[in-house]
Amino acid sequence: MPSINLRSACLCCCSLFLVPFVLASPQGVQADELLVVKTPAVDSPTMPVVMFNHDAHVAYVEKHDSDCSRCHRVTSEGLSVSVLDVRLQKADRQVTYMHTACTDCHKASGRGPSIGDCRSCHAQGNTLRAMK
Amino acid sequence: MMQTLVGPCFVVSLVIFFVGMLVRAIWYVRGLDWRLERVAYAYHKERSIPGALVSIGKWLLPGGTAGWRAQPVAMLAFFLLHFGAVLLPLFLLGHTVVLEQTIGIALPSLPTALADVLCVASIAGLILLAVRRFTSPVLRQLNTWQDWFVLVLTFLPFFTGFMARLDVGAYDTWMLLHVFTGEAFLVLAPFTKLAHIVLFFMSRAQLGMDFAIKRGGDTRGGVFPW
Amino acid sequence: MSQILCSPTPVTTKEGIHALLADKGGEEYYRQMRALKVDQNALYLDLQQTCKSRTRTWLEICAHCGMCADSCFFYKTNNNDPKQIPSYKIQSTLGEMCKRKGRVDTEFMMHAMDVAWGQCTCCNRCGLYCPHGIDTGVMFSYLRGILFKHGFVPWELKIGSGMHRVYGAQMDVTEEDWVDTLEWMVDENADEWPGLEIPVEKEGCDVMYICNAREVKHYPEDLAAAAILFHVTGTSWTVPREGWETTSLTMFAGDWEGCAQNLKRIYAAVDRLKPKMVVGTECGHAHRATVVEGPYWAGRESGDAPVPFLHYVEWVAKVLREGKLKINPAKKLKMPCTLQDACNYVRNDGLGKYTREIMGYIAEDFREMDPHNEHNFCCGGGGGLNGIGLYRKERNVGLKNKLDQIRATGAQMVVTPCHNCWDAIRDMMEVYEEHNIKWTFLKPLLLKMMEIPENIEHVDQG
Repeated sequence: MPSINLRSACLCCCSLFLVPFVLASPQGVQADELLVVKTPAVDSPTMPVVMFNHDAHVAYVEKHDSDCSRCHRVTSEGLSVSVLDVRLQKADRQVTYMHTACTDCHKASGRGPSIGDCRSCHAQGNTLRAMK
Repeated sequence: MMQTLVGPCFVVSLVIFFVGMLVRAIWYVRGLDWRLERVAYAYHKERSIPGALVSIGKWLLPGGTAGWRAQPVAMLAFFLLHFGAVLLPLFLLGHTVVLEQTIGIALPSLPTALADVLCVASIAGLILLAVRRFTSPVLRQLNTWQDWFVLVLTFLPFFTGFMARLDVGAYDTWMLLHVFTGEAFLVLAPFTKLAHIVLFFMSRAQLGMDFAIKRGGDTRGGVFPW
Repeated sequence: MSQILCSPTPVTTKEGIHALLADKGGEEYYRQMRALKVDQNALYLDLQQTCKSRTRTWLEICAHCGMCADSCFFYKTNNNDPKQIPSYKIQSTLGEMCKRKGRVDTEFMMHAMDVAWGQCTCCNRCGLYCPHGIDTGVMFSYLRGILFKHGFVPWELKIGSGMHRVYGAQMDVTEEDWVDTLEWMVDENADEWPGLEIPVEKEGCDVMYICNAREVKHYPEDLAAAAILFHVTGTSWTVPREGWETTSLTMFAGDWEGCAQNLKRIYAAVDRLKPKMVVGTECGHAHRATVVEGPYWAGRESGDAPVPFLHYVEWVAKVLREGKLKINPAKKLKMPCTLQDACNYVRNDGLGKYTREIMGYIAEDFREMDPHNEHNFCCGGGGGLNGIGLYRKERNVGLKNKLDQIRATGAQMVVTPCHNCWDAIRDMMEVYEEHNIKWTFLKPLLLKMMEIPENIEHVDQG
């Protein structure tokens, strides 16, 4: 009789947990990550928080001859986390700045929610509605 | 589609709305004739200005006039609609954002809970007005197609806007309909009875001045007791 | 072939008046009216020139909210007939006329006449109950002007307009009749009031008194009462020889030219006699036509008369306040009484505070009607309706509203300082067989209650 090694058995079980994730991915690859995008100056937002598909935006930017500096500032420590110069704006101007930063590009590219499509970005259901 | 509607179309509809209303207001004032109406508009400003203001102000308050108090159902329907109808287009959060983005005017925004209440109230008011228009023998005698048209034209932006806000499905469709019907409202307002948005104030001011200058302003002691 | 009785031309001769009067009840007049063609082009031109932004806006922005319905006593007394809603009444007449740009026929104009004179007294109450401030009463007055100009006016008012144009008064009272009646009244009362006089054409007095031709023709006691009250209060007063009449059937008729003529006569008298103030008799439409609207018909841009013009109740309140007229408290009215607020000087000139001031002096048990003051209902007979035979039935129906109001107060006496209201109340008591309620002008009450000052000689007539 062959002996069942306990370590191998554990490894097999653990890898079973990966199956759902593998099966759930649309193209059979890793699912797009949704990042929370907040305006730095806003502590208690009135609208649902924006869930942002960073991967899809990266793919678009790379396909259109641009790079991370489209949305991020390059600093001596590397790429800034926040969008462009939002932290340099006065607190009460930051939301408008964020809206403009995002929607200007949507307008120019003809893709993505417009400024009137509030809940496409401020999505309650965390869906990828905007990025079909 | 949405980009155009919220971009140039919105600006155009705002321009038509404001210019149209301005034209109607100016046309009204220029058409006043002291001889024909027998009101000395240019005289007795110490009476006519308070008279005009009170004539407007009292009717803007629930129960502010004998007229409102005599018609509680009409009053309820009117104020349910108009509180929201005045505040929401200007101060709803999404609207303030769009206004700022497109024409650079930054207005304060309503708290979400209050906006929700106002919207529900407006829709309730519109439904009440429709029911009243359909069931009252008085209104049935007076109704024309325009009365229904204006009711529907006003109802649609509120209804579609609220459905979008609820975000229960087909968000994009509701938003598209909302912007479209909202802009239809703006564009058609100056050419329909919605012109009362400015003409209410003109007409009430005129009557207030009439009573203040001519019909008892100098003998009554105080403004007209509406 | 009978002469033309009905046409757009106003009556400007005695013969014209007599011809109309001879036509009993206006039978021939109305027959001719049914054949009177409408000059549609002229009508459209009239509308273009006189129906401006205020009226057009009123017609356009009516939201059909129906709030005017309950405000109108015609609506209430006609079982809430939707055809009596003020908005409906004006939209189906003037509104329709404007929409059709004057392309209307005789039948339409006659129907408009029926509505403008038989379904509206121009009491202006509906204007108070409209959120947009649409004064349908004012629009009906305007419509009357259009209809008069085109010949579609009730028979009695065509005559009335002619009376003013020819006699300068609402009845055929000549200057001679006027002065004779004054002299007669002095004679009749000189024994009781030695020194009583009615100065005619005296310059520089405190008061120039103007009155209603009905008083001259039908109850000259009213003139005597006015004279006595001026006498007792030590008022320096006079009456003019011409320009003594202040009523205005021309206003009811929509004869604006006639209205202007009336005002010119009265202002000419003011110019001649230079009084400090003018006091008018107890008449509502006289006050509206002469004091409220009058300055405009006379072309005065400020809308103000050349000197203060007072309604009789203003003068009475003044002399009571100043102590020139004293009331014996023991003689005050003890029975429950109420006050009729005449539309033309209460709603439309704010004099309700003076009538109430007076009631405080003369009545112990004064009950207000509900509603009252500016929100009162028309007596039911205003706007000339009392006198129009064609709409007598309609008027009698409308009277019920005021009668109900009076009854609800429990009053046995209605104080009503207005000729038309007085008539309407008299008629409603008759029509509805109400025998327990009396009504009165102010003058008879004051004569009965006043204390005669020491310096005024009074000889009891037993």
